[in-house]
This record gives sequence, C-alpha cells and structure tokens, in this order.
Amino acid sequence: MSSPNHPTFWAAWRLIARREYITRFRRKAFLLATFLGPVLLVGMVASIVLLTQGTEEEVKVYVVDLDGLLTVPGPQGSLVPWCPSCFPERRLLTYRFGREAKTKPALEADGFTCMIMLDEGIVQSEKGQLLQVNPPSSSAKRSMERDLSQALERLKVREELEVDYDAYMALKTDIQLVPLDIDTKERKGSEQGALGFLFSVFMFMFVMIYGMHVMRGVIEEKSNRIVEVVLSTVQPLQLLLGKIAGIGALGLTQIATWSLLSWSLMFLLGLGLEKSAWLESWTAAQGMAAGTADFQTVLAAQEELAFLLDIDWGVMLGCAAIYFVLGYALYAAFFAMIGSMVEQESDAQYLLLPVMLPMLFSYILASMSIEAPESTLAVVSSFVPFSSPISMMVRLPMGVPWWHVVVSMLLLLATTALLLALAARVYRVTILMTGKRPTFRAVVRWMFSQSHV
Amino acid sequence: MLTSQGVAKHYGDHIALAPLDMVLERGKILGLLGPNGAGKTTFLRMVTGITRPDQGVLRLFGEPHRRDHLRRMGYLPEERGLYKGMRVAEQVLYFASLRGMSRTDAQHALKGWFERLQVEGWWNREVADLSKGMAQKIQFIATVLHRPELLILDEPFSGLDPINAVLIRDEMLRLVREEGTTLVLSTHNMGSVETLCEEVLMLHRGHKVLSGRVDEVRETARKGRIRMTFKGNLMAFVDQLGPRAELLSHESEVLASGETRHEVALALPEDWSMSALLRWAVDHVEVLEAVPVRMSMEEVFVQTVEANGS
Repeated sequence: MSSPNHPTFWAAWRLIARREYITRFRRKAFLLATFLGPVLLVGMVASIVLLTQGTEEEVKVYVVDLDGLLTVPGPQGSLVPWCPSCFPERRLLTYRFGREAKTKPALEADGFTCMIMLDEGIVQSEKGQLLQVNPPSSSAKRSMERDLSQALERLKVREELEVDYDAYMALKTDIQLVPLDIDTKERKGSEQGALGFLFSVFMFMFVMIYGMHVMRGVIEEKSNRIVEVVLSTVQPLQLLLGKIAGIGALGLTQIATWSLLSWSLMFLLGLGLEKSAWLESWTAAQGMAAGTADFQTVLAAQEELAFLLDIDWGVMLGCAAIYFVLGYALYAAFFAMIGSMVEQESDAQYLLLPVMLPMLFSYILASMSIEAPESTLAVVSSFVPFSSPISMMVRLPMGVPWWHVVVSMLLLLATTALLLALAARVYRVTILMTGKRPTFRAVVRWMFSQSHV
Repeated sequence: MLTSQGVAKHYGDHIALAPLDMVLERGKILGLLGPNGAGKTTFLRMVTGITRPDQGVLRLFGEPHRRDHLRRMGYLPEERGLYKGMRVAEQVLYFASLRGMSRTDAQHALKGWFERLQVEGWWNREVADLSKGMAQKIQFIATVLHRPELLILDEPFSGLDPINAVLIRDEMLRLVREEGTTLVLSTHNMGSVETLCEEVLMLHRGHKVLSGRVDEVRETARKGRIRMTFKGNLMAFVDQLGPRAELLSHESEVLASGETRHEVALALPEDWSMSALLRWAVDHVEVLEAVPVRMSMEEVFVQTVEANGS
C-alpha cells in the first residue's frame, strides 16, 4: 500500500490557509471590490481638486450703500468706493455700487449674482444682508466679508479714533496658534487627525469584513457538515488557524492592492493633470508663472488635501498592516467561536453584539480623538488590545513616541495569542455540536479545561 | 487492525459509549449496527481521532492510536458535505493533500476513480451543481483516494439510487478483496449487512448488545426456529406435539394424489434440538423436509433492541 507522509502541523495549516485564500480570491465580489475601491478613492480626490478649482463661477456683486458709508460719487454719475484698495480686483469677484436697491429682474439683466444691502446699522450690528440671485461660493462669500470688514474698519478708525488707519493697522493684533510637536517641531493638526480617522475607519471596516468572513466560513463548514470529514484528517486548531490565516492574507492582499493601485492612480492623475491644459489655466489663475506648478503644488494649494503631502506613508501603511493582522486575528478568534456555536448566520446576530461593542466604542472614540488626540482616553485606548488597532491609527499621523507603538503592538500580540488558544478550545467542542446552542457557562468551562473532546 | 479495550465516552452525565471491547481483523468487513443514538458515531469519532476516549485503549494497526494513523484511514461520516465554490477535482485533491498525498499521485488515482465510478467529465464541475447522489459519489472518492487501509463508511448508500448503490458496493468489495482493505460499515440498511458484512457489532444505548459473525448471529438469534414439511394429519400432529414446541405458522396444500402437505414453522425450546424433534416426528408423520430458519438481520436487529428495552 502507498504510504503517504502525514503532513506536519504547519504543512496542513498552509494547505488549509491556501484553500481559504484561493476560493475567496477568485470570487467576483472580491475582485470587484479590490480593483474598484482605489478607483473610487482616487476619483474622490480628483473630483475635489477639479470641482473646487474648475467650476467656481464668477461672482458679480451689487452693493447697495443706502447711507453712503462706503462710496463717493465717481465719474459719470457712478459711485466708487472711497477706499478702492478695500475692494481689489479679483479674478472671480467684482463689485458695483449704488444707492438704491434693484429688483431681481434688473439684477439679472445686468448680470449680477447677488446684492448686498447695508446702512448705518451695520456699524453697530456688523450684519449685512446678502440677497442672492445665485448663491456665491463660500470662498467668494468669505472674500466679500473680508472686503466689507476692512472698509468699515477704515471708516470707524477715520471717524472715531485719533490715529490714522495705517497706525491702527500696525497696532491691530491677530493671534494664530500653530500646533507643533514638541520634539520634532513638525506642524500637526486636525488634518492629520482626520487622516488617522480615515485609517481607523478602514481598519474598522477591514477587521469587520474579514472577521465576518471567518465566521461565515466556520458556519458554512459546520452547517454543510464537511467539518467532520476535515477533522478526521486535521486537528481543530489547524483548521481554525488555517482559516484565520488564509482569510487574513486575503485581507492583506486587498489592503496592498488598494494602496498600490491608489498610489499608481494618484500618480497617473498627477501626470494627466500636468500634461493637460487644466494645469496651465490653474497656474495662471493662481498668479503663478506658467510651467512652475506640478501636481504637488496643486495638492498643496488645497486646504483639504495639503496634509497628504506631510504624511510618512511608509510608517503609516506598515503600522496599518501590522495592526490589521493582529487586530483581525484577535476579533477573528471571537468570530470563529461564535460561528462554531450556531447553525446559520441569522442565529449569530445577538452573539455578535458583545464582540462588536469594543470595536464600535473605539471607533466612536477615534472620531472624538480628532479633536483631542492626546486625551487620556485616546492614549489609554491606543494601548488596550481591543481598541488599539483603531485608536492608534488616529494618533499615528500626528506623531506618537515609538515605544507607545511597540508596547501597544506587543500587548495586542499577547492578547491575540491567548484568545486564539482559548477560542480553539471552545471551537473544537462546539464545531461538532448540533441542535442546542451551548450555554455561556459551558463555553467558559471548555475554555479552561482539556477534556470534553 | 482495530482493537478497542474498554474504550468509553461520556458527555456530562450522559453515557455515550460504555466501555467497549472489540477486535476487527485485517481484510474483514464489520457491520456497526444500532438504533439512532446508540453510540456508533461516538465510537467512530474516537477511531477517526475527532474526539478522544475518556478511558480505555484504542489500538490501530497493532499500535496505540496515534494521530498519524489517520492518513491510513478513510472516513465518510453520515453527515457529510462538500465545499461549495470549489470544483469537483480540486476538492478531492485538496483532501488528498491534507492526507499527505502528492499532487501527481492524487491526480493519477483520481482519474482512475472517475472512470470506475463513471463520472468522467465532472473534473471541473462546480460542486454547487451536483445532485445529492452525485455529491455522494464524489465524497466516496474523496474517502478512498489515498488508499486507506481502514475504511469507515457511515451510511454510504443513503441518497444513492439502486444502480449507483450497486456501483459503490462493488467498489467497496473490490477494495476489500484486491487491496485487503478493512471496512467498517455503519448502517441501518440490514440488507446490505447481510450481503456485505462478515461480522457485526451492535450497540444500544451505548452498550454492546450483540457481536460476532453474521451467519452465527443469525443462527443464534433464531432461538430454535425450524421449518418442517410433512405429509399426514396436521391436527393430530399438533395435538401430539402439545406444549413441547410452539407452532408459529402453518400452510397446507392438497396434492394431486389427494394427500395433504403441510408446512409448519416451529419454535423449539432450548432443551429440544432439531434432531430430537425429527426423531420424535418420524413416528407420527411422513417428514419431507426440515430446515433451521435463519433470521434476517432485520429480525435480529428488532429482536435485540426489544430484548434490551426500547
């Protein structure tokens, strides 16, 4: 008789992991999500860049200066501001002045997009009415507010103070706080927090999705009874670890593909923009010399995106991968345990709640951490193994002492190993049970005893 | 080949299997019988290493049970399935690889089995497209592909049509005869026990209630039943027989000669053998034929369960 060699523990583990990986990898849904995800992501960035710059429309404002606060008669019966420098010529914003309000048809006929009404009351109330034919963009509105404020400030200084405006401007103080890291003196702020939050969202998503994969896989094996055939060849621990490893590798594949594809697409997007006429018009609009701008300059000019250039992507992605692997394995142990206790997925719903709570908690905490990244709660939760994969990702882009990361990872590693061992003990009992769902007490008993198998 | 010395298993207070002694020799076919919940699956799970005995010693291939014995075993559980989302051959090859078979060996063996079970062309079929009977054949192949020395089949014929059942049965017999495979067959199909098995082991509520060679078991269980054909007066015969033996049934037929031929089934008490009965009977009637009645396995099964309380 042929006498094949019995595969070693890790050889069988690898075979199991390979099957889990391959059968899921070739599913259409996986391929679609893997390749479509980055396209959507880069599409979002591209649309932010293109939409905010390219589609902004010209704003023509008609200012009704009822009490003559801002204007003096100009040539040909027109009104001009007595402080022309307060209303500079801008590419997309022009002012015309009058003493009387216009009707909407009159405004439209003259091509105005909105009308500002102001009288003496504005000096006290600091509120003016903006009557919109077409609502101006928020940046245009900010410009108008700035221009009007400056003009009225000059007026106040001229009328009420005994200093001239230039002297006043010299005295005027406007404090801005620039957040810097105490060690590196690098600028850090809420944008980095937002990026960290984005990472934690992805972390939450990936751990959930792939954890659920593990649970579904266990339920499938249990409900279609194949598990008994498998267990007559391999040990439950091999099956459990193989499944978790195979599905985890799939998750890593997706993360790697997303990172790589996103990066390539961003690169292509930049290249495309630099070659296109769009960049020229953009450069011109920014008042820069032609040919001096590249994609990075464009990104840097976007308030919402500029911080992307300051991130150490290698560290971010490396840590994300490690936290994903460990965090996923931790939760997969729970998911596998739950899967082995039920016959079908719908039975698992309420068992899932206690598992998802710590994750949801750290997710909510992460969203709060953007405002207060170094709060005690945020720091503590970045060490607690159940929340650290999510919480640490928020803190990371803002700069974290390296030993924080190492300790947090080691704690997570130890907890994950312990939980996997306990889960395997429950799994080997419950995977063969049919009918009745085990009690919580029984599960705890199985966790801490060797028998019952 | 397979020896159980006092192997027992309990779950909490429930005794799944009381200490069991049994021996199965190489190349034999053992029928493992018993009503549902008798402890058959419990025993098989211990043999296949899925669970461990609480006490007792299980020996395989002449050695104490070890995990690496498992590759020399094939187990087709009663509750069985296949992975959806995998192709037929891919799936069988996966199981073969788990049992340490090289890919080329497994592919070669698989081709042979596909031909023998007349499922050529299924190589790349999706498992989800298979009917129950088709899946059954694939599961059988996955169980035997690595040429196990000990083959354990739990209800191998359920879900198979008669033609495929015969096909699988013949393959089982071929493995036993040509390869010397030892076979444990757990089934409720008593007909297949009669035609296939040489030995039986019957469990009931975790206890061994019957074991031995199939023909001996059927012989022993008959409890003195014989069938006798004779010419003469039935009423007089029964009168003279009196309480010495129990008349179970009778049939009479009038022959062309005008004589009447009777066929009776009798149950003899333990102290009255068939030859004693015959010596007595020849003085009263003209005995044409007398044969001991062998009980069917089905009758043996029902009788054993009833005797042990249902």
